Amino acid sequence: MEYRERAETYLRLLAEAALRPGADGHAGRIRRAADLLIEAGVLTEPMAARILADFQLSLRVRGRQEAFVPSTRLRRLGSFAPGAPGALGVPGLAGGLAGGKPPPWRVLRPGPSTSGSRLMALILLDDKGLAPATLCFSTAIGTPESDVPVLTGLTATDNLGTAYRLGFTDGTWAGSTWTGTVVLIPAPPATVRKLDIAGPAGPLLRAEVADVPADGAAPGALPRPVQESPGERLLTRRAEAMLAELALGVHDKPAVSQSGLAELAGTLEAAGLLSPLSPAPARLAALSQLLGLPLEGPASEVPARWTEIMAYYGRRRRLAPVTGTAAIGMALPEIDGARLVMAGVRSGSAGSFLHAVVQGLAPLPRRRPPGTSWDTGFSIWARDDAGGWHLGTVEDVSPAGGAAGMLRLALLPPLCHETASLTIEVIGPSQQITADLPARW
Amino acid sequence: MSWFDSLPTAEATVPCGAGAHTVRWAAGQLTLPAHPDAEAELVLGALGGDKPECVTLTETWARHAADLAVLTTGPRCAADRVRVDPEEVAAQRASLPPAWAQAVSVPMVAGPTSPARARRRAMLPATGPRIDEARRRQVDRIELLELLALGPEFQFRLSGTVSAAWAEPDRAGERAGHRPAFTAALTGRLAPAAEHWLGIGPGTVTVTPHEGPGWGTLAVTGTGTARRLHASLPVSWLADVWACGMAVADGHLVVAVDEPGYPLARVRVLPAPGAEPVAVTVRAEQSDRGGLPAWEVASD
Repeated sequence: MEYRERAETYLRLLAEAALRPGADGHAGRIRRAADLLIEAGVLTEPMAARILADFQLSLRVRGRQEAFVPSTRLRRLGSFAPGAPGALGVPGLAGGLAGGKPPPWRVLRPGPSTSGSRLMALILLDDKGLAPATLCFSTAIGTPESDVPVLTGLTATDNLGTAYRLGFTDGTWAGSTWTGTVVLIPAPPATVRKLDIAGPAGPLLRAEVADVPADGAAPGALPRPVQESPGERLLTRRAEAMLAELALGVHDKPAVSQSGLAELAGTLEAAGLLSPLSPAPARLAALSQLLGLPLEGPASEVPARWTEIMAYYGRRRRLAPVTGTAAIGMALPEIDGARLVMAGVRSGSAGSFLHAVVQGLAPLPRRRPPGTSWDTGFSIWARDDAGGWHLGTVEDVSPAGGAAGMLRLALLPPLCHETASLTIEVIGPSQQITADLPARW
Repeated sequence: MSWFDSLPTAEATVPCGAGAHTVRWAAGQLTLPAHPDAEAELVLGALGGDKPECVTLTETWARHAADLAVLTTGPRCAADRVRVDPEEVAAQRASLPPAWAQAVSVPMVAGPTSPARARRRAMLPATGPRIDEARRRQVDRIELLELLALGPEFQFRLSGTVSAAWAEPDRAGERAGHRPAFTAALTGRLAPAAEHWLGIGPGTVTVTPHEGPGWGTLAVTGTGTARRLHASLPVSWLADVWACGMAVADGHLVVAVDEPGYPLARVRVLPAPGAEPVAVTVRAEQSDRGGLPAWEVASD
């Protein structure tokens, strides 16, 4: 039986049991279970909403007055229209891949670096080009306060003399340096070899670009099935969220309790998503204990890459992040309906950020609680050339028009040297991929 | 012979215009003695004329004849009382914005369509894609409540109708796509029957849909608090057996009906878990079990 069928069966049987005489008070448990199954990626929100709505009606016609409100997650998704891609959250990122093979994206990689402004990659979509880049403005011109006037004064032309309309997304300022994505309209041709971006004060970015074999697909990277069950994946993602909170300095989050973890694991086991022999609950408990939460677990179960993050953020004096921009320009094969092009890395005092073009993510909530990262349902890790692991947490998702979006991933801990390569590991609900990507600083 | 041959006629009174009319369920059909030419009234209604409420009710019944929400919401056993206040539902219907109230929900799942019904449907206002999903769901729910408000006799008969629609041999593929819903529907209905039959806790019963030849399987494992009942029954059991009130007859679990009938039916019963089914004749007795007959073994 597939995980989806198991999950739906479990929730329906739970509702069935809660309807029996003497089962008052079980409604809350059903709501929590629905939330969990959605989070595990094995139950769709519309299906969960339908089951809960039927359950609510069933309680009502039996004169049961149990307070029943939509679960936390479903309430958050209250205005989500089932089947409407991108209806909620960051527009345009959901969907696009389900309805057939999308048109391929072409990736062009910049030539050798020059000082100052830097292009990470040029990704050619159907109707536009996306150019994640760092633009260094003269201190007299560029300030965060004058963001719009500064950027709107820019122009872009290619070596063929074509001028482009420009848009800007996913931008952040650090002093007079802007890092974000320049959107070029229309899409430059695949034969483009040079891109010039100029401002009123003169040239800002001059980049030579080269076509990459196989449309920029990372060589040798093939999707393979995820080893973990959906329940283990969920517990792992919970652990990663806790590591991200540690890195982001969040201390006021409600602590995971032993009973909370027991209910979590119990629900996942009962829904057939987690083996009773799985080490994942003990691993999460051990991590929680190391983070000072009231749980107990064997420290030996904690993976080395988690310990690295704790060690870095546990130090009083931390290594400063490297400063610079690295071009990557590599596309990963589609996994679990999502495709990613790793554009490059921008690193500085604020941290190290991996910039990627993405399509096919599930809708994300519009607002993100402060100090938390968005849960995309994917785990993203990067290993530098010294063997150090960095957790990629979603810092920002910006629409880039159509079904594509820009993903800015904070690497935790940040890169502390100019790594010559990054081994990227992306783990989705059922597929995962590992790719070795050269980084040119 | 059909599943509904094991059920007697049922009647309810519903408001219609200034008065009240009888709605009759007989031989699997909802009929309106006060509207002998309901078909013509439907056509008139489709052309913009007034449609009597009880004529609308038969349309609603037909639309929900394969609606799995009926099994989710409806009764699990005679003791499971589902009560809907018709006035409250009427108030809900009245509170809908005018455009919503006129919206007619689409059939839950397309069932076998007679030419007459197809003609009738073609004359109804265009529906489906043009009705917002949320709006349609709300109308669906109100309609379902209107049907449940007819009372337990009709609730069981509607549940039987839905189950029979899904039990058609040519719908195995569609059933496979709804296995979780049928697992819950079967478990929720066998569980109280098994409690009555064996005294086993309803929470220890799990039933999965059975496909293929034979009546299915049933086994009890463990002892004491570890006692569990696992069964596999066809979806048709819900219509043939459960909806006719004969899940347990004279202390035996009925697993299949060979010859439906009322007041006499030929069925196969399990005297005990693990035993082979035995063919017996059962007789319906009057009872106060929510409009369902009580069945006793008449002879081997």
